[in-house]
Amino acid sequence: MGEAELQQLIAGCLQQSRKDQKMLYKAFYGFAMSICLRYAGNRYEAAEIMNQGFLKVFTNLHKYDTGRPFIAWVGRIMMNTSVDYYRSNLKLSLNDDLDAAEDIGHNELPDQKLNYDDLLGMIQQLPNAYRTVFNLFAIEGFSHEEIATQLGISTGTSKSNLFKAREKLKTMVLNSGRLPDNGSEDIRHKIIAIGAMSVGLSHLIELIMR
Amino acid sequence: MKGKNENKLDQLFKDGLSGSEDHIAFREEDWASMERLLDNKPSKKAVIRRIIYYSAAIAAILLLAVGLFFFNRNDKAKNELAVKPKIKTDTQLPVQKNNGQNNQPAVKDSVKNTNPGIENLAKNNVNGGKNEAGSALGVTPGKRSQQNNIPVNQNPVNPIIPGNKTIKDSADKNKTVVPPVDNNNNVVDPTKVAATNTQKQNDLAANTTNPGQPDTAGSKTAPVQQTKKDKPSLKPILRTGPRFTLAIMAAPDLNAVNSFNRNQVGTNFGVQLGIHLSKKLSISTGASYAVKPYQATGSQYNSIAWQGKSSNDLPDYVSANCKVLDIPLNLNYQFYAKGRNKFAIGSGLSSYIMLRENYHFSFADGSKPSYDVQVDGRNQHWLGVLNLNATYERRINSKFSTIIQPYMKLPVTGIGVGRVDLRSTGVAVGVSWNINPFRPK
Repeated sequence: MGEAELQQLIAGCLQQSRKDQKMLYKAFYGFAMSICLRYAGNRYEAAEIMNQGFLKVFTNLHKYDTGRPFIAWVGRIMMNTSVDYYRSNLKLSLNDDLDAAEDIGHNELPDQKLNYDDLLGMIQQLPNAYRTVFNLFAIEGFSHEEIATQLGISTGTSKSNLFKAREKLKTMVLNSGRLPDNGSEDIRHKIIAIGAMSVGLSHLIELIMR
Repeated sequence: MKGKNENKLDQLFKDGLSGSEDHIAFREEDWASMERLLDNKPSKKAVIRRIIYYSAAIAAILLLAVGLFFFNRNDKAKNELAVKPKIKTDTQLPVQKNNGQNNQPAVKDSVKNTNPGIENLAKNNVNGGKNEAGSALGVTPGKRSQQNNIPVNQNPVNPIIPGNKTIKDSADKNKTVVPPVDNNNNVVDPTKVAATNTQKQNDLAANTTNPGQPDTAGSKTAPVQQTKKDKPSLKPILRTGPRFTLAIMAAPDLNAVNSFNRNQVGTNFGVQLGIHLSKKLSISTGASYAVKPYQATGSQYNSIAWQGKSSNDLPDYVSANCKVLDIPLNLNYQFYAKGRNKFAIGSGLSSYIMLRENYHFSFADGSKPSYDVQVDGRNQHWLGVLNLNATYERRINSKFSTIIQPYMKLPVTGIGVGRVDLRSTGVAVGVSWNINPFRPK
């Protein structure tokens, strides 16, 4: 999209033109979604966060400084909205050996190509607190101090969460070559558990009846 | 930062995840919810939440009102009982007098009233001893004395008096069910009441003389009493009648489409209000929040949007996760109750209000990328699910019981966007609270 076109769209959005709003939304949908997907636990949460972000974009459009790139402004809003969304459960931390975090993932990783969906799937499996710190540190490039200020946590928590995130991601990357066959196994376990419970219950009832 | 730039893992993710904007296709449904946000309309979620709050509030108020109503009724019943002894003390003396003057003993049927003179002359001398015989006949004493007394005195009653009498009598009759044990003095209160009544009637009757009317008066009042007499036997049932129980239940359940072969475990929790119509029958309703994950094949999923498309274009597998508000309406029959244990079976219909439906569609050959769909609060299936359940209830104390309830829910209509035959089965466990446990004996 050309710069002139973008300025026109922004002007239209400022006049609350629904058509222009949709055009702008569509134009930045992929970009915004790619950020939110990284921070969110799943596709649905990502869409919810993204829409909240776009609402901020539309309502604060008059505050946008035209001298700066618009896409960076949108990206910043999306990131902040994502962080805000999970702010309530970001405190999760472990007081493990923090310096060990730096050593994870240096040498042991195999030289394999993983596609976008695989990587996104892995990052989305992380707990919210780990995922947020990993995103901010590894992908956005913030320091632990910056992350600590932004999230309202201590640098220790930030380091600890990064450590746990890397540890989990490493396990997932190393295991990614194997076929995930534990899904059906899981269901089988659940059925057996429920079966055992009902047998136990019927025995209990029988016992009580006597 | 040491290692920040060189960390291989970080780099892997940074490279893999950036520049992915083009992979993400635009979705109209996201814009639709964006428009809702822009219009500042409350989202469907909020609307549903509001409905839930309102219905909960209404239910609570109803519960309170009904509870108060029955509580007050029970108080009244107690007051009635409290009045009884009073009458007893008041009438102690007259009763004994009565036994000399008046006969309570039996006239077996109203036909005999046609010859009042002879009958009553004979009976007039009788007291206690005969009374026992009378009670052995099993006729309620009140009735007997009443039928008898008018003719005894050969005293006709003027039209107003029979009227009074019937009212008084019927009021007393409500309490007279048990035949007297000992008539001479310590009679069970109902008879005493009846006896004083008859005395008053006699006194009143003695003052008037009109030989033409006694029989008609007697026969008129008899049927009235008969109908009124039925009431006391009904009353206790009504009093024990609607009891209310409130249960909190939770259950793991198995969800599957068409058969229970490919099933997934969901959870389910909610409240259940039981309205006990009689000892054996009860109606139960309530609300429960259920998370129902399931897996289906493309052919089991029949979305309207899929119609007319070739089967090659359609996904082969569907995995879904639905959040459902389940409002059941069941009729339960208690077939066994002994000691603390009760067993009941029940059936009825449930309404499913689909709060949120998440679907993940995937293709067997991996030729096309899998995709997700989310639908919020679009589908409501009113009375669309058949419930079958069995309940085992064990009483802990007069107020609380534990409940174990295996159940099965079979849809009559298709559930959700895909109109799937989503069956659920499980065992609910919960605690039931007896709201009005003070049952009259």
